[in-house]
Amino acid sequence: MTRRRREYLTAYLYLAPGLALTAVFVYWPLVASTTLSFYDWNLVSPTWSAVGWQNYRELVGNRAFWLALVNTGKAAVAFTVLTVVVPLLLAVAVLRVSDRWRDIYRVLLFSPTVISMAIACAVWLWMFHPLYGVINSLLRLVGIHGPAWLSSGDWAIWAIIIVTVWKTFGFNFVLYVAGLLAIPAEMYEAARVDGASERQLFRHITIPLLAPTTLFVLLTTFILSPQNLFVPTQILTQGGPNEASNNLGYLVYQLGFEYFRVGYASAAATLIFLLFLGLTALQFYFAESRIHYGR
Amino acid sequence: MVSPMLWMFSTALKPPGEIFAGTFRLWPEHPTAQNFVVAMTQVPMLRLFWNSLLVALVVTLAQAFTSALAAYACAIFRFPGRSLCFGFFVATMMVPFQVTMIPNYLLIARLDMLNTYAGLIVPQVVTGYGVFMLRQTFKNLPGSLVEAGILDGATSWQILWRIVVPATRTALAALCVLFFINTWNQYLWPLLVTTDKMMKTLPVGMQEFVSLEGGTNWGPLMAAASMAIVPALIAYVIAQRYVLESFVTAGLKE
Repeated sequence: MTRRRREYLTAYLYLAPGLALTAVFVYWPLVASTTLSFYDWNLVSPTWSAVGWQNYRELVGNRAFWLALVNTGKAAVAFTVLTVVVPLLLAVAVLRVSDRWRDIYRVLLFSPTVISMAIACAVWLWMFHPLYGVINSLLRLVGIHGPAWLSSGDWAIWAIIIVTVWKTFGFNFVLYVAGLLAIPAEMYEAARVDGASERQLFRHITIPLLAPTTLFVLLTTFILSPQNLFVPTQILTQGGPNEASNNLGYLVYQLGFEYFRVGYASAAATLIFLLFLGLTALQFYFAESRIHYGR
Repeated sequence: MVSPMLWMFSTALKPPGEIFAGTFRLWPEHPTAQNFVVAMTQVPMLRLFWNSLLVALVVTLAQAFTSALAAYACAIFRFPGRSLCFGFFVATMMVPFQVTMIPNYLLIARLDMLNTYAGLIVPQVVTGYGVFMLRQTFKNLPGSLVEAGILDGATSWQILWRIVVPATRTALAALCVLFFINTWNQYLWPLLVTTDKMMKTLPVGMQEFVSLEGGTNWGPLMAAASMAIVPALIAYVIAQRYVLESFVTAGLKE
């Protein structure tokens, strides 16, 4: 065996465990999920029946699916404003205060990131309690009659969005702080000497140089949104009342593990995958044309 | 941002009468440890704690190990299909968990691994994110380090463990902190594969308190939540710089 051949072989030996496990637990499930989506199966029956496109047809005709899609869209818009734009502005503001305060902000804002979403949701479940919950008690103090958050068709999805924003806000904020600190101070000084205003600095230096961070924040926010929405939905509302707070991440679980319709759930999973693939590609496409990779 | 945590502690210390007072009061009039006692007796807290700890530790070490091996190959070696292999790992970051969970559940069920530690651990011992991060780290090492090892006649295995890993131990440790927190907090996968009370992890087992017969038992639930959150918070405050940095390095490298 030549030296070069041996080097190839060694490299593949190092890669083997990772490649094999990824193939088994990520790529094979993708194929299996797509295959399952053309069958009707209830998780226990020994027989499967092929049903062609039936699952997809039923999904498209299902009210819950469209509600889930709309709610996921609502959440995506809310996340873009509340966990992408607001943390950026806050990070810019916080960097103007002294170092000690900055650390305190970082710790306080970031702490929800390290605790379990499921445990936090148990706490929020209590806080949203219509009679004894702290939120409505506080609202009563200022004379507002709070809604029955989790059993209200209008408010349930917003309760879920509030919890998710609370949980993910700090992470994005800290990313932005790091991104801002990485921008060389000389760039600002040079621009100031040239007579640039604060607004111009923000538009022409901060925004473009922060673009890689923004792209990362946007991507993780989008890709993780079905996951992030799942836990609050499962614990707070189970998608209710009457599907009003359902969303794509929860729908797959509901169809598969509550209604035991594996093929149907897989069809939903496959559609979600294609949707997210499309969205990710779109984001990359726009980002590539706009990002300035200054280092 | 920390107010839900304050409210949790406050409720955990309140006797039932105060919990259902319906008026806002942060510090209880008559603080009591009763809720903690109830929580400890109703749910096997210590066992749940141990399950979470064991799963999180093993997953963290396994993820670090597989990621290091794959990242080492992708960063140091030259071989045909290198960028394809790297892409194979990185692309997994784009796959939402919900998309793969049903087939993975079926596989674990067929292997008879429901309600076992293996079932909780095995499907997640490799992470595209880890490979992605570590390849970047390894690539940034000065090439002379590895070359010196080769000149000394070290094998690639020795170079990995005696040169590359020690030289990048800060980045590795930060990544491990991240893996640990993520696994410790995980909910959906343990929810699917554990039905046995003794095999659940902390976040899953705690939900027992929600909607126990006769309505949710808020006091003990908040006490259990406090006990589950406190270790994570303490660990975070101690390793604060580390944790922040490990989360942040992700954002700086596009």
